[in-house]
Formats: sequence, C-alpha cells, structure tokens
Amino acid sequence: MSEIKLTINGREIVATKGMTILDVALENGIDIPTFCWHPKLKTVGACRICLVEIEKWPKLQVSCATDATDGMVVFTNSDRVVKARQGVIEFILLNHPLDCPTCDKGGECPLQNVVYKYGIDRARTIEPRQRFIVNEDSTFDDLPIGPEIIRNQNRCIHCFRCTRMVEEVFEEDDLGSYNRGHITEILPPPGREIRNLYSGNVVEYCPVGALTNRDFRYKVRVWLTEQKKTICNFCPDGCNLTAWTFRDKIYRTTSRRNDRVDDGFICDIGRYGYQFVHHPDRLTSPMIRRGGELVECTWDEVYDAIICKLKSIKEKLGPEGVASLVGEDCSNEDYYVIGKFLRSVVGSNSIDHRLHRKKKLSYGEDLEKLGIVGTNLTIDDLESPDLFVIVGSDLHSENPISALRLLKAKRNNDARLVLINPVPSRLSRSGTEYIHKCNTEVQLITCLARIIVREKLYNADETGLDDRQIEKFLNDTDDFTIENVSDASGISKDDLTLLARQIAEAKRAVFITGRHVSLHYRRDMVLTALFNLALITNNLRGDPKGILALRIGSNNRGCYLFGMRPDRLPINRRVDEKDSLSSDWLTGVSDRKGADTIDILRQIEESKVELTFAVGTDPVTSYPDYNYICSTLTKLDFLVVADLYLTETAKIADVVLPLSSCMETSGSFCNWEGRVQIFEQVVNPISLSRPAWQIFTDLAARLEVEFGYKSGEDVFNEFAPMISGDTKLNFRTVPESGICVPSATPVNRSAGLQPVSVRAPELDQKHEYVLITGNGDHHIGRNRTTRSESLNRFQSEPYVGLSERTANELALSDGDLVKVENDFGKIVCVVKYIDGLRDDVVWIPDNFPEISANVLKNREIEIDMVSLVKV
Amino acid sequence: MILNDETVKKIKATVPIYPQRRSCILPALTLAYWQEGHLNDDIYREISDILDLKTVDVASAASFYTMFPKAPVGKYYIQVCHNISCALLGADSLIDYLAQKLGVKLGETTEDGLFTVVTVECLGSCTTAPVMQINNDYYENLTREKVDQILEDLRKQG
Amino acid sequence: MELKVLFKYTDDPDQYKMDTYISHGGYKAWEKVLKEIKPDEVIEIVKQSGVRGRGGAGFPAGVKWGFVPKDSPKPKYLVCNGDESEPGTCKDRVLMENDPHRVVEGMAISSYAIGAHHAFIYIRGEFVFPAERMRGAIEEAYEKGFLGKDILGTGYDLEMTVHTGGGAYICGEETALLNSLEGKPGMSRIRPPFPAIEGLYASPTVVNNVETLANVPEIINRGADWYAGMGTEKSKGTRIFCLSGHVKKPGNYELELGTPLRHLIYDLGGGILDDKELKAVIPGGSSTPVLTPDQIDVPMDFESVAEIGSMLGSCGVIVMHEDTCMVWAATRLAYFYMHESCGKCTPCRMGTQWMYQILSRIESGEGRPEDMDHLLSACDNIEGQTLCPLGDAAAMPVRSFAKTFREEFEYHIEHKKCMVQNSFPSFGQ
Ligand SMILES: Cc1cc2nc3c(=O)[nH]c(=O)nc-3n(C[C@H](O)[C@H](O)[C@H](O)COP(=O)(O)O)c2cc1C
Ligand code: SF4
Ligand code: FES
Repeated sequence: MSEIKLTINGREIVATKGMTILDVALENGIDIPTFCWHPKLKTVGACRICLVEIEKWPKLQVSCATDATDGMVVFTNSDRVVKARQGVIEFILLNHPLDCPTCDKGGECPLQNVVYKYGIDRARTIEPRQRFIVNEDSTFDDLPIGPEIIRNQNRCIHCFRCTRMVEEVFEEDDLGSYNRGHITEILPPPGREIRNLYSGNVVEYCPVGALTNRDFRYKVRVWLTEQKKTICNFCPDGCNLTAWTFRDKIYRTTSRRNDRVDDGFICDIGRYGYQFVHHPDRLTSPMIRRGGELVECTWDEVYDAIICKLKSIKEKLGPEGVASLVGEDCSNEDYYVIGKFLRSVVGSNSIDHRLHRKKKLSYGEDLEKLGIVGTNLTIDDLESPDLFVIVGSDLHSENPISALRLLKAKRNNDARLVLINPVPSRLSRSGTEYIHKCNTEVQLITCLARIIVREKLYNADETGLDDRQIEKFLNDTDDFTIENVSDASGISKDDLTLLARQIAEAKRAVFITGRHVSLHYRRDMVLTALFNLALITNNLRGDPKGILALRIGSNNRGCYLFGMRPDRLPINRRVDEKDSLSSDWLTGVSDRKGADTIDILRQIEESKVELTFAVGTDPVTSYPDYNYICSTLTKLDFLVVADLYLTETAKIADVVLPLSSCMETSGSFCNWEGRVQIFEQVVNPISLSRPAWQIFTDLAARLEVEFGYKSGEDVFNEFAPMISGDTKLNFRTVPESGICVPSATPVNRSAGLQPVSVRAPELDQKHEYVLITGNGDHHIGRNRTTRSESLNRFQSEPYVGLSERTANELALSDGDLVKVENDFGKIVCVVKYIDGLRDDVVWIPDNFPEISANVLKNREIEIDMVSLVKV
Repeated sequence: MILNDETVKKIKATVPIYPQRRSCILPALTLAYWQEGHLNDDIYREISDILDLKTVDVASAASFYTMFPKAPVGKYYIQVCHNISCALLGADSLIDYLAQKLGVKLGETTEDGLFTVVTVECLGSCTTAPVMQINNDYYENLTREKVDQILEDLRKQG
Repeated sequence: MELKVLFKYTDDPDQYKMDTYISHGGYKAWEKVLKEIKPDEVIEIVKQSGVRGRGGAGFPAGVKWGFVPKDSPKPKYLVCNGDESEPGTCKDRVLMENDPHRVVEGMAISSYAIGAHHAFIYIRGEFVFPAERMRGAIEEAYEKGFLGKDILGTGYDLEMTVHTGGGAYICGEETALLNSLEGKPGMSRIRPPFPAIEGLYASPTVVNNVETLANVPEIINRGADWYAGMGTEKSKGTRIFCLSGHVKKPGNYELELGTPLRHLIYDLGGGILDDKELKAVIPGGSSTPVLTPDQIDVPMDFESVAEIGSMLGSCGVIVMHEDTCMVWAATRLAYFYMHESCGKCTPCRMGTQWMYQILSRIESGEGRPEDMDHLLSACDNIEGQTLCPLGDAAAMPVRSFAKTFREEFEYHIEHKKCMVQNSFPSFGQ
C-alpha cells in the first residue's frame, strides 16, 4: 500500500492509495455531506451532494467515487462547491415535503441536518410538491409495504440505499424501484410485502422519513430519548444495539455498528424483539403455591420458603439433593453467580444448561480432543474463505448476521456457498442446496472425503497424511461408496462428485454446522466425519480454522465459559482443576463431577434430588420428551422456577420468581466467537422482578454468605481478570471490541483421520414421517419473540410444514387441519406447503405457545417419527 | 397461465444466448408484449418463473421501460410521436384528428376495442415526420388521407 | 454535394440480402482482416483513419478500442449502439434496415480487433423492422460461416446477438445501455470504471454507434489514408445528416464532414417550407444548442460547430421557421428530457422536472419575471454535475433557447401569450 499526499482545504494530508476523497476527508474530520453513499454499500455516486472541487479538473467531482491521488488539491467548501451543493439541496426540496414537524425522522434526519447546515433560507420553487397519493384526505401518503415498514414515497430522495441494501447485502428480493425519473418509487414486487429477516435495516439506512416502522413511528420524539448500549441476545451472534428509552420504557433498538461483530446490520429479531420486555405477560411478583394454587407473595416469603427447603433437603440428601437447570439466554453474571451459589454455598455441582439433548446424545468429550468444540474462528474470519459448506443448518434463521458475512465473502471474493441440509433453508437463495435424506450426514461427508482421496485431489505433503493412513481410511469406510451413499442420501452420484471436487478445489473452505447437527442423535460422529474431510482438504491449517460448529442458545458460549455444566468451573476449567483459578470461593468446591441433565432427571426419579432451580429455562416445552419431563419434575419436592413469564414449567413450580431481563440490569454476554461484550442497564426492573445474579446473591446472604454484588457490573468486575488475564480490567474499561476468550481446545491436526461409523438409528417403523423442528419466520426460541407484537406481525400462528406432494397424498391443502401423532402424543394444526421439503419430512416451527412439538418426542428414541391424519 | 406455449418456448430459447440469465428479461418482456399487447404483474411472475429470476427484477425492469403498456389497450395501439420534429410538421393536429375521428381521448380505447391512441417520444423517424407506430409497424410522412386509409384498412382487418 | 460511402447501396432494395451485399464487395474486409491482419494492426488502421464516434461524443474509435486491456482474463464484448433515440436523429435505422450486413461486418471486424467473442447490437425496441433485418443478416452470416465457431477456418469464434430495448432514450447512453442489456433498468453507471475496463457483465467492453462501425469495412478495404482524405483536418470522413423539420425536402443526406450547414438546408433540403424565413436550427440532435440563421454558414465538422457554441452531436438537424414559438419548442424538449431521465442522480431527476415545470408555466401564461433566472440557474446546477451526460443534454437546449431567444420568453411572461404563434402544417379540418 503506497502513501500519497494531498491537500484538502489547504491542509496537507497523508493518505493511502486507493482511498476516495471522501474516505480521506472522513478520516481527517473534514465534513462532506452524503446521501447515497454508505460505507456498507457499493458506491453509486448518484445523489451528487458530495461534490468537491479539484484543482485543474474542469468539473466538480463526487468525492465518494473519486480516488484521492498524490498531489491532488481539493476544496470541499469553495464557492463553487457551496453553490452546487445548494443546488442539489434545492432540487431535493423541490418535491421533498417540508413536513418535518410531523415526520418521524425529525431530529435524526440526515436530510434535515444537511439542509440545516448547508441549505439556503429561501425557496425559489413554487410548484406544488409532487405526491404519490395514497390518502386523498391528508398529505400523509403512508403506505404499509410490509408487516413493519411504512412507506411515504413523497419524502423519498432516491438514494436507493434501501433497494441496494436488500439486493446487494441481503440478497433478498422483496424491495425494488419502479418506473423512472421523478416518478420512481420504492415498492415490494407485485403482490408481496417486504418481510425479509433484515427488513428493518432499510428504515435505519433511509436518510429521510420515507421508510419508517410501525414499531417506533409517532410514539416518541428521538431527542427526548436516552440511548443505552446493549447487546442483542436472541442468537449467539451478539450484535451491538442501542436501546432508546423514554421514561423508563424502551421505544426501539437500533444497530450500534460494530464492524467486527455485526458489520452495521441487525436482524429484525434483534430490532423488534425487545418488545418482550414490556409485555403484559411479564411476571410482576414472586409467587408461592398455597393450597395447590400459585399466589402472589413477597420476596421475603419466597426466599424464606426456598431457604427452609434448601436446608431440610440438604440435611436429608446432602448437597447433591439440590440441582439447577439453566437456560442459555441469561447473562454471564447470572451464570457466574448461580454457579458460585450452587457450588460454594450449597455445595452441589449438579448444574447443566444442555436441555435439548436426547438421552443417548454424547456431550462431546471426543470432540474436545479434536479441538472442534469451541470455535476457532471469528466472525471477521468468515469474510475470507472462498467456499462455505454448511451442514445441517438454517444459518439464516439461526445466526442471521453471521450469515450476511458469508454473502459478503460471496460478493467480495466470489466465495461459493454449498448447503447440505435435511430441510430447505433460506440461505439456499444464495448458494446451492442439497437436501438429503434425514440422518445420512455421516455417510455423505465421509463419501465426499473418499471421493477426494480416490481422485487424488488432496495434497499428501501439506496434510501430512501418509498412504497407510489413507489406505486404512478407505478400508474402514468401504461401506460409503458413492453408489451406497447416493442411494441412502438421495443425492445423485454426479452431485456428490461435483461437490467433492468443489471442496477439493477451494483454496480455503470453512465447514459450518448448526441446529440440525447440534441436536443430531449422532452429533459427534457428524463432526468427526467433518474433521476428516477438513483434514484431507487441508482446511484445518492456519487461520481461519476449517470447522465452525454453531449452537443454538444466545449465550451458549457464556454457559461454557462460566461452567454451567456439572464438570466445569468458570473459564471452562474442569472441577478438578480449580486450583488453577485464584478465586477464594472455589476453595471449598467439590472436586467431584455433579450430575448432568440426564442424571439430574434420573436422580429426581430416584428421589436423590428433591430441590431444583430452573432459571430462565422452560423444560416442559423444550425438553425432547414432554411426558417424561412433566412426570419427573412433578416428582420433585420443591421446584423453583425463575423466569420472565409464567411458563409451562413455572405453572408446575412450587415457587415462581419474576426474573428481570437483560435490559433491566447490566452485565455481559459471550457470543459464538467467545467474545465477551458488556451491556448497560437500559430500564429499571419490571415490577418486582430481579435479575438472577441478584436472586442468588440474596439467597446466599440468607445463608450467611455475603457475595456483596450491588449490580451486574460488580459481578463482572470480579470475573473480568479471570477471563482476560488482566487484573486491572473492569466493566468501565472493556474495549469496544469486547474481550475475546480463546477456544479451550486448539484444533488437533495430528490426531489424524478418525474412524467413523454409522449405527443405524432405531427407527420407529409404525410411523412414516420424520419430525424436524426449527425456527419459524422471525422467531427464535419460544418465550420472548412471540411476545413481540412486531415479530408476531410477521408470523404468529403455528403450522405443520409439509411438501405439497405429501399434503396432496393425504388430500390436504394449505390451511387444512392435520393431526400429527405418534405413540407419545399428538398435535393438531394447520398445514402449510414448504417448497423443497422432502416428502418424508414433517417440519414444525418450535416457537409458538399453541403447540409444542416435544409432545411427539421421546428421549429414548433417536429419530422422531410421526404419522399424519387429516382432520 | 397467460403466456402461451409458443411464447414460453421463445422465452426459454433466449437463455443460451446470453452469458447471464438476467439479460433475458427484456427479450422476455418483449415477447410477452407481442403476445398480449400489454404487460402486468401476473406476466412478471410468469416470466420470473420461466427464467428462474427474481420477480422484483422483472417487474422493476418492466416498469422502467415505457414502450410496454401496463394495462390492456386496443388491438391497434397507435403511438403518435409528439416530439419536436414531428410536432413541427403537425403532430399535435394529427393527434387531435385521430382522437376526434376515433371518438376517444388520449390513452383511451375505442368501444369496439380496436384502437388506443397515445403519444410517444421521438420514434427515430424524424425525416419522415409526422410519424406514428401502430403495434410493430411505422407509418410515416402522414397526411390526412393516409391516416384515413390506414384506419380504414385496420378496421377492415378487424 | 452528397458523398455516398455508407449510403452507396442503401437505395438498392436487395442490399439487405447476403448475395447482393457480397456482389457489392461485402465481407471482403472481414475475410482480409481474419486472414491477414492482426488485431493490433486493425486498431492501428482505424486509429489512422481518424474515424470518430458517430453516437454523439465523437471520440476516436481506434483509440477507444485501444483501451481494452489485453491481459484481462475476463471475456471481452463489443456492443453496437443502435438505440437511436436522440430527437432529430434517424440515420442508424437506415443502415440497419437497408444495409444490415455492413453493420454486421463492421461489428465483426471491431470484435476481432478488441478480442471479443460475443458482440451485441442494442436496438431500440420500437425498431422492430430494423431489428428483424439485423437478425436476418446475422443469420445469413452464420450460414455463410462469417460468424460462429472457427470462422473461415481461422480458429476465431464470434457470436452475435440482437438485443432490443423497451422504450427509453437513456439506454442510448453507453452505461445505461449496458445495464439494460444486463436485464436491469436502464440507469447509467458512475465512471470510472469505464466500459473499456468494466462494461458488460463487468468485463471489458467497447460501445460504438452503428454508423461508426459501418464505416469500418470500407476503411479496411480502401485504407486509412483514403478515409482520412475525406472531411476536415480533425473531422474525417462523411456523416449522415438527418434533416427534419421545416424544410422542403427532409431526409438523410450523407455529406463530407465540413460541408456548410446552409448547403444542407437550402441546396439539398430545398429550403424552408412554404418559403418562410428560417428562424432556428438545431444542428446535432435535440440536445445540442440551437443556432440562428446568421450561423448557418458554419462548416459541419466537430470543431467548427463547437466553435460557435453548439455541437455536431448525432447530426440531427432540426429546422424551425419563423412561425415557431421558441418557448413552445423549449418546453417540448424539456418535457422529453424529464420523461427520459432515468432518475438515478438528483440534478437530472429533479432538475429536468423543475425546468419543465417552469417552462410549462411560462408557456401557459403563468410565468413570473424571476423564472428566467431560475431556469438558467437550474441549468447551472445540472450541467456538468450529473452522473451521465443526459443532464447536460437536457440543460443545453433549455439554456440556449432561453438565452438566444430571451425576448420571446420575456414576452411570454409579460403578455401571457406567444410572441410568435405556432403555425405548422395541420391535419383534419
Ligand atoms: C443521453 C444519451 C443518449 C445517447 N443516445 C445514443 C444513441 O441513441 N445512439 C448512440 O449511438 N449513442 C448514443 N449516446 C452516446 C453513447 O453514450 C456512446 O457515446 C456512443 O454509443 C459511443 O459510440 P461512438 O463512439 O461510436 O459514438 C448517447 C449518450 C447520451 C448521454
Ligand atoms: S426510500 Fe429512503 S432509502 Fe429508499 S431510496 Fe428513498 S430515500 Fe433512499
Ligand atoms: S454521496 Fe457521493 S454522490 Fe451521493
């Protein structure tokens, strides 16, 4: 990169070749107005407000699209420039209504600001402003163009940021520009709405009030609001948000651009999800069961009841009689204090967050040895590969903003996206998707590796694989011939070969797995097969590392980091390694592993556990066996549930504690990269609710152990040195980039090729369809997003997804009622056709309170099978 | 389906011609216009299905180009140039004449569904002004007699 | 005096057929180029001939071809611009209709010179018949082996495609044309990158006008010197002038560059209709500044016309006689440019609308004294400040009408009626 010198407004400036004049100006604090330009969009140079004068150039030039060159002499405020800029403003105002007092963008409108700063104070235009008439009776020509977006075309200044963003960045197809010239308008395609998962960004990027959202419009004036820094915790991407409040109420959240994490975009779930905070369903008071009924009571009363039970059960069963299940959306501070309370005050290590697993699903000990449990990549790393192989994931709905990085890699380095999924995903719009027969991932991946080996498309020297190893691998996997695997998976031999070659040819491939693998009955084997494939194709070398196993649960990584497992302490130390952590409270903690979810439940059955805390988790609807979880939890002597709402689990609890959400306290989250990012308290706790860290601090105090935390910040300050290795680090000094906690286990290439095998799943022969669950449109999880009015506008009704063919075979049409049943339970719901769904799959979004797919699941059964009956 | 087999076949035949499929949009719109005499949202959807392209791209392109009527017009779509060269040679009175003779206002269709008269920008036939285009054909050096004859012939064809 | 190079055979009703074209010496240049001349040498010959673009801007064709990077791994494209939408211009249509093979041959040679293996000709959608003729010619050329794979056994491949537009003047502008060819709305693109570096499908592309390319076969056949021997020092060759408006014999006339405008209007055009007085002439298509009768001795070449403040443009000569209201004329053109602005950049989108609003107010008798200043200031704020030259094309005529005939505008504003009542040939009663 070569250095250049130029002069702007008489000031000598050193810059780098390749920067535009605008880049240089911005970097040096020189103000140039812009409208169409945006750092995250391709430059189009269309609005012409950024014109500058360059010595020796006859015409004014747009600074956003003109490269700075050595020796250039630029003026950004000369008379010519000012005149031209005023000309552009005058042109814009020819049609742009001066309805600022009634415009929602008022006070934060780039156009308003530019006019204010550079405009002229008299109008020469007398022509009536052009209107795109929607409402004859008023000048508010508001047109809803999507569940959340309202368009007022009169105000549009044709910067096309909205349509460019939708097309370029999101690769979506639900917004376009129509007609031409001054009558150009912004609309979704005929008969459709703008409802892509990123649609809210268009409102944020629109420099005027042409696009506003229902959520925020006409509720509060921006200049009256306070802004707080927060972190989205709906998925593990960890986007940075600003929460806008007025009188202790949140009015909206917007992107707080952090290029390392979210790259300036947030998804609609992050944007509108906050509405759960003020939902009337929030628990307002602690409750205690009296005479069979849950009745409201005081905190003192519940605390007394809990302490009393705690003492008696501990006396009767020992500390292990107490266990805790935690959800994956709490803060690090909550986890830290819960862990500290349970381990050091109660003395039990029986704590777990892994509630989605079936009985036989391993916890990944083997994977840890291979180094593919934690993540060895950052979100930024996703910009450099030239191939992404996505296995078992609807990345779009599971990690919406990380998914955008893949599209960026596609845009910038022609990266290719290949998806290997059991059910179709939205990301297929941007890549090639192979839909395979359920549960054939191991065969598929291994077959790809075999093709690469057999076609000698791997590099023996670089991968360090010798002939003997390769020979053994081929022998061990000789079941997985291309013929066999093609038959089993339903993917053609040609496609398999093509895919294998593409993977082999890629300079740098990254393999990403998601929900379907995370919950797969043979998860470890799928990932081991991927390890082999990545090793053979030499994608485990250097950075970025080749495998990214993503999990659901927004603070899943925080659970790992703060030891929400029976065998782990904070910083992912094993319980027998506690001495490596210098923290007083750990001294008395038992060296013995506690019980994990499966064992806790078994011990409840056996009456070895009689008191369980369930914090921020709703096992009754999420544990993959409804009947079992209900019957087990009801066996408990004392079930304590702390949550935001009266969940199904709360309904059977002995005491219910109203939990504050993360908007009501300060603290931190850890995103999938292992990046710990802090958030401020946005509003006061709703009603009598308290954050989990406070509840357990209070309980400890009643057992005469003073933790002494007055805020989430205090908790953070205690563990900050532990996670950062920096004794001086505290809540106030955390950098914008957060604290990156490296993966616990580095990738172990020298482990060599691993044996893989497929054990035929125990299939339930009576039922013919495989049940698969996932996220519905604009929802993640069950309890929070369905309490956002905005998100419910996108989808609020449950449904059963079937291929059109399957539906037709059962004489069912879109919208008909169907009964989905098996030996364990049944669900009755409306049918919806899903394009591309396999005929043998039933797909149910697992978000809506009306139905809970876990009634059809059994923890002993590896693959959930169901039958369909027309009602 | 609005587009008939032949049109669909022709649209599909454009695919191998272009290095990128999106280029087939304009040819497809033209073929659809030739079949239907106008374009509409359903046609955009059909075209995007046939070509496996985004409807938004098809609809947005179609709306940009003014040659395709976006609502049904008469069997004979009379487009009279009213740009400078034609206007200097009486295009405005030609338009009045047509409107009066057919008993319609600009943009309207005659009751028998045969004729719609609209004005268009320069047709690129300035040296033979005044000019009008009816469907795909140009009619140049127009005089009153010629116009009468043309309309009569078209009426006869029905 | 007409000098027929391009028009030599356009009157022959069979010239559009392959056999006739060949009997008139057609495709000799193509064969010669393929077999005897290296691409670089072709570019050199075209440079030497001095032929300049006939689409409007007059950029030397050979120089443009030379910009195409030789080392780019991307495919290269030739695009022939047959959009012909500038009011007053209708020359390319004649070539495409009556001598389509000449255009095919010119495109082929140019493709070969720049290393393209796919050439497109973009024809405005209204030109159904010319497009049909071009398609026919291309088909014949494939049959004869002049196009397609391994042409004449030389190993050179060339595909040629006719692409028709959908009614949009802006698609004549090269970057808008490329967007349109890519299936997008025909909005222009920012430059750089120039099409020669990143054009069609982001690959190196040369865009040339139909007439420009039609000159190429003869240049190859008869040599650069022969071509350079016609015209003036800097404006070589002949051009087709489209004479329209108030003249007795409107039509397309091929003249040597440098021929006086008066000769065209009075000698070839037979003078002014009904023997009225000449009032104004637009010399190069509707976007070029208007000339007055005292300026018509100007030699019609790029430099001389520029010297008197106008442009040769696309050689669309529009003649207006004494009974033409200049406010009306300006308004008509302003409407056109407003209608055709693609809407991408602010000054063009809004400026054309404002100019039209002011002009139509003046025309309908609602003008205000300050309107003239506003009009000219709008021109100031458009010219030179738009994304593509359509803005200039819109502002130039408005400015020139308003300046040259200012008293007519002022009269209109003051008296709320025309100073000169339009009196044109009429139809009907
Ligand atoms: C608004 C506008 C319209 C144009 N229309 C045409 C046209 O119809 N035909 C044409 O050949 N060039 C047209 N041009 C010029 C082209 O942009 C381009 O310069 C030309 O096709 C290059 O070919 P040439 O170098 O052979 O002239 C137009 C330019 C502008 C700015
Ligand atoms: S709606 Fe807003 S973002 Fe979209 S083009 Fe108009 S001003 Fe720009
Ligand atoms: S910001 Fe440069 S042209 Fe719009």
